[in-house]
Amino acid sequence: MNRPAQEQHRPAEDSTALETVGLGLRYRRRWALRDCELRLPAGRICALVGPNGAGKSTLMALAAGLLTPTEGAVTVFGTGPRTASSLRRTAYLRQDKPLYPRFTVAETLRTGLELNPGWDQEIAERIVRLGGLPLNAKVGTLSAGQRTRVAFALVLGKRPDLLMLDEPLADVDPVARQELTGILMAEAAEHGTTILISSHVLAELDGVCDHVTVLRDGRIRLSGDVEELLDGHRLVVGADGEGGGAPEALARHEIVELRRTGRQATALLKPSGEIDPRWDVTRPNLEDILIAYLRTPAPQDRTLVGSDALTAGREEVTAR
Amino acid sequence: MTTAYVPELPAPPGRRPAPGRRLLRGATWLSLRQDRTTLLMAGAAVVLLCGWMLFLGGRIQDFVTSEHIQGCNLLDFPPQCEGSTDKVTALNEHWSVAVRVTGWLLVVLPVAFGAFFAAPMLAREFETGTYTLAWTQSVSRRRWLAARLGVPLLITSVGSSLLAAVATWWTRVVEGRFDVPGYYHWFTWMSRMASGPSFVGFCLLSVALGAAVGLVVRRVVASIVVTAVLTLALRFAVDAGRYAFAPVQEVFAHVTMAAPVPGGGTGMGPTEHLPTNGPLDSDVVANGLLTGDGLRIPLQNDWLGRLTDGTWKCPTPECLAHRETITQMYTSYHPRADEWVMHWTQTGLSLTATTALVGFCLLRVHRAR
Repeated sequence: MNRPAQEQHRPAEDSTALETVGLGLRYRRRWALRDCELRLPAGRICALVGPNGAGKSTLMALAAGLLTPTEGAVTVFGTGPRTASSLRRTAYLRQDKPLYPRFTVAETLRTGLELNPGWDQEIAERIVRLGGLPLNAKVGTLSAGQRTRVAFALVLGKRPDLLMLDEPLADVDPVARQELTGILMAEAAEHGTTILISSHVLAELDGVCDHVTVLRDGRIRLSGDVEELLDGHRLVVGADGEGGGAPEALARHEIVELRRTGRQATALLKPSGEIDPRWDVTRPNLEDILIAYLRTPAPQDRTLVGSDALTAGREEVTAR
Repeated sequence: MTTAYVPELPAPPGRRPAPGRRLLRGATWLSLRQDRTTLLMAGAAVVLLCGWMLFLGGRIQDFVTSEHIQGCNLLDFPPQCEGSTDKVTALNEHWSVAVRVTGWLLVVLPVAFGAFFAAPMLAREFETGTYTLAWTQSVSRRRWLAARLGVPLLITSVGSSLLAAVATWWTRVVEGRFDVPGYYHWFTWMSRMASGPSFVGFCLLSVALGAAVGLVVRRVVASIVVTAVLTLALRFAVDAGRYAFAPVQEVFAHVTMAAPVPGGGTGMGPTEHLPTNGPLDSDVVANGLLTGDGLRIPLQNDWLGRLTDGTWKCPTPECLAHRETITQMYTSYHPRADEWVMHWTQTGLSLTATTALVGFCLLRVHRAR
């Protein structure tokens, strides 16, 4: 299928939609985000995954120019997030989806029209109509899911090149969720929009995104192309010999996470070379990889925390 | 008919609705839409208050004209008014409460407008997070803020000008006729605070201050309280500077001070008004005695005891000490002609502060995180 629109809109291959260099933000004494090095190629759909308080929203707010970094820098298509061009090219849907409660749906869409030169009324109205929302309903009287739909219309109507969605579908019913995801993907495909989407629902991301970034404790834990990650990891199951430490058979591979249940051990690892044939090797799915990385701290943090703290209360989880 | 077989036309290539129906554009539209309800309510209040002042002022004016008491009021009662005492007091008794309430409304209104409209205007955006909605659209923060401040400031200037025009007329009608001390003279507090161009300046200052506080405090209730307090403080500061460009004028009269009477009050005449003869209806700043070498001895008030021989009695030890050298009395005052200098000075001070606050907001919003 030919997509002339995509070729027109999509910036040159290899161009960067979002880049952070040593990015950090401190709220009084606590670092919400630190040493964040991220490069998101244009045209990708990137999942931003991490436990609560990992810094996902902070990263998006920094990229949207709502927050000022304490250290480091963030650029959107090569310019600072508050420049006129960045404001025009990015859209950000905050987790709490702020809207003017006394505006009607139509007035909310008009807000988008008035404040954005590239506004697409058609797509915005289509999203609203698909949800059966009357245009003259006051936003304050809508349910949370309906407000999400209006907020979606507002960010998609802006026709951004970089769309950042923070937990966008948390309060939407499954049917609407599928429908909105579909619209999102169609828009991304048609216009080459780069999408950064954060979510807790890992299963929802599989098959949707082609890039993934894991944040943990304010730092990037993992970032890369989904296919490369899937190719680069193996899930292995085998008999567990000794009590502590990693099994000898796996010693030369980089073990992301090792779980022991009785005499059996399950490990997610980045293989380097052949894996011992006594171990049962499968290709993991995205959820397996994400959960493994979410559960285990980064290696440099493990040494800081100390092995005692790591194993306490979670005996079955051992990291290399 | 021609409409019967018209096929459904494809959507026009332009995906934006027809711009013809849009009278207001961009951030201006948004700002006006956000403040629409409050501004309409404030507008209604202005219209009601103007109507009330026109009605009440008209009734008072009619009474004064029909009873021929134009030159007679509570404070200024020349001999030809002797026969109309009952009419003057009847007018006062009938309407003085209404006049007092109206005066208070006019004084409180700008403060209330700043606290209950201007302060929540931006504070609510921060409290509910809608500022992030505005800041992530294609317009810059400064442009957004310019509209967010410009629309209410423009509408406030129109509304308060209307109110000030009517209030200025109303103040002239009621001045001195009622037992409301704030309305005794052009310089008493109700008269000077609730009339003239300074009223417009003060309304604008209240709005700018409320917005600036909302931008800094970011909480609705807290910013209402802070705005109310700061508005009053600024109001008094502006008021204190009202004569900055109206130099004090002085009048003098020659006097001879009486020698201290050893036995007490023998030869004491009546207490008399100082003979300096300051112009009528002027704002007296100070009264006092002046020695030949230029020393000023202030007096508590402009009444002084006079002996039967025409000399004046020293009220203070300081006066007694310099009795021999005192040659003149003085009264320093602001004449009625200073009224408009005073109003325009206050207006200028308010507008300067307003400009400074708007500038502060524009700087602040750029750096805010």
